[in-house]
Amino acid sequence: MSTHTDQQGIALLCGANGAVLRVIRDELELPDLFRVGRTLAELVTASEADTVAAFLKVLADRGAAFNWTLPVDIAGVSTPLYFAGVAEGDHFYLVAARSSVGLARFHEELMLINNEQTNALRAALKELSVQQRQDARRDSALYEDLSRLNNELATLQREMAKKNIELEQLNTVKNELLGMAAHDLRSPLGVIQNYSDFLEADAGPQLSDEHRAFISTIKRTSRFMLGLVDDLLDVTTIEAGRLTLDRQPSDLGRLLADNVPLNRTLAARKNITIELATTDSLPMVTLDARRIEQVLNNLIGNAMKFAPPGSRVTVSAAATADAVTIRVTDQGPGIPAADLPNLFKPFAKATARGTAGEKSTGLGLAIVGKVVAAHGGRIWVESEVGKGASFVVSLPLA
Amino acid sequence: MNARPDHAVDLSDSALLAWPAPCADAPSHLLPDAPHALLTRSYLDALLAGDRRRASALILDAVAAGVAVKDIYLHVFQRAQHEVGRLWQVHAISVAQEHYCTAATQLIMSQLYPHIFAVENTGGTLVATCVSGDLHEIGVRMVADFFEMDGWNTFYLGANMPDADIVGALIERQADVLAISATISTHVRAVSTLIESVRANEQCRAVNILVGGYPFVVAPDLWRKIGADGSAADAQGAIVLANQLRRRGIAS
Repeated sequence: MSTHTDQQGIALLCGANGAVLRVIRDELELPDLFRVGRTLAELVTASEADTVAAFLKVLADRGAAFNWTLPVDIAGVSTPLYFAGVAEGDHFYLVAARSSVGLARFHEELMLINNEQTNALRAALKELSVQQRQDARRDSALYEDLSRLNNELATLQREMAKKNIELEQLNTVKNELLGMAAHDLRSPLGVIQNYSDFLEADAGPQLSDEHRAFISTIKRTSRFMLGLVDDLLDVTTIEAGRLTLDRQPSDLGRLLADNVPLNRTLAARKNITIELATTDSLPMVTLDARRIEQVLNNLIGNAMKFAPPGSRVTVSAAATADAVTIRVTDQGPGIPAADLPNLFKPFAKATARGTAGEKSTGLGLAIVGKVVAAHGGRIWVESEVGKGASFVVSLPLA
Repeated sequence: MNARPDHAVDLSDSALLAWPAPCADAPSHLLPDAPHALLTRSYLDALLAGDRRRASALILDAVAAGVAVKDIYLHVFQRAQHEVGRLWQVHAISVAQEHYCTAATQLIMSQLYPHIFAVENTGGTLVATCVSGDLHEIGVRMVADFFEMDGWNTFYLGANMPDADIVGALIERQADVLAISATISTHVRAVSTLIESVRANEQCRAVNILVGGYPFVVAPDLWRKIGADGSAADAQGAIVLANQLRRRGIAS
């Protein structure tokens, strides 16, 4: 016996894969079950997936299928629904009801309102295709625009790559030029120094105090220039990537003990004391001794330059499991925060001035930074304006 | 969807990517006995799988192993791009995949720039441009790179450069050759206008103008009608022609 419910049905428009594209009419009132996007395979009891596939295949192959029973999972209960359908191009038009009688009745009724239904079907298909066309047009415009954007980026990238190579070439030329100039300046400076020495030694006793002071200025200035030329050669060598380290296991404590006293003569002239904290327990470190001596002397020289007379420069060293640190601390004016980022760049001049009017090449710390980096180490500054500065070098042990 | 975008109908934009009229059953461009066939296949497979990192690694490894960048351009990039165009035509890949492949290839090309720009400049100066920005702009940029690898100093201006700026660049760079690429026939008018602007400027008298792209492939005499100095079917042909024109310019 058929009930009223048995006679109610549902009409669907599905894609070729059985996915619901439109619910045309739903008398079963199962909107959660027959949702757009769900496939028939998802609606039926899992074990019946093959039956769904067979149903869709018959629809596709023969253009129509009638009276197929598919157990649909309604609220956890497997409920048989009777399906019929026709193929319309790439789409399937399906009807289903709770009984085959219901299916026939529902289908009949659909036939009766065929015109209305056909119109609905036509409208649904049209709407779908308009939507698809709009989507395609929008996608196409977006892709075109993305393509143009990508072209512009690629063009800029090409220009940048070209400019980068030009810059690299210019930098090489600059380094070669600097190296050449520095090299050619060395010989005449040596001559000036030597002849000043001869003059002082041979004619010194007969010269007036004023003339002896002239010679002294010539010697001091030429020594400064020689230092500048040496630093320039170092910087160009390092920047051209030609810095080669001769790294040997070295006694860092010994290196400090040998080098720190050498700076004391110069320090004494400014009435500055240089203290070396105990370095007994330092391990052997693999380093280029000549270059690390240069680092140490540059840092001590830098500290002495800014330290006021009567103050103290302290050199200390300590080891951890994987690194050693060398610390050079002064009681100078400290370094303003604005100077910190440029401290290790070539030709960067600090705002502070040497306390005895010492000149600065702006290369000493740049060389220090590069030598430390070549050792795989790090350098940093701890400073507070008015309270001195500490330069800390950390060298890896491994 | 019946309106296919222009680039579907016309696979070639530049002379380099010159391509005969498309047909649905066009054969694959990946011939098994072509040079670097295996590399090209793997490269395209990586791109179609959306794996640009693998594609990039394949190319960079090949260059590190000694494959010439010119060969990578000719045999891998160019053929892979042609194949992508064909696959799109026969609906084997989506428009998204087509755009992805082109974008990824442009990126990978840029990774080769350090090799390309390291070639010492011994030739003339080329300014290259195209009159429309689309998927095929990659082609004319590849042509410019070929000139660079041949020792030319090249400047590639993007598609959105106004004519006056292109003329300005020709004067500033003292260009020997201007290469203009067009994708479709409707762009020929813009090429012609640009040529008129260049010819009208006294300071550009020595500039030779080459044109390339699909419209000039299908109508081999078109370059003469719009006042260019020549057109070539591919990048190598363009270089030979440009060198001839430049030598003639120096001699006169």
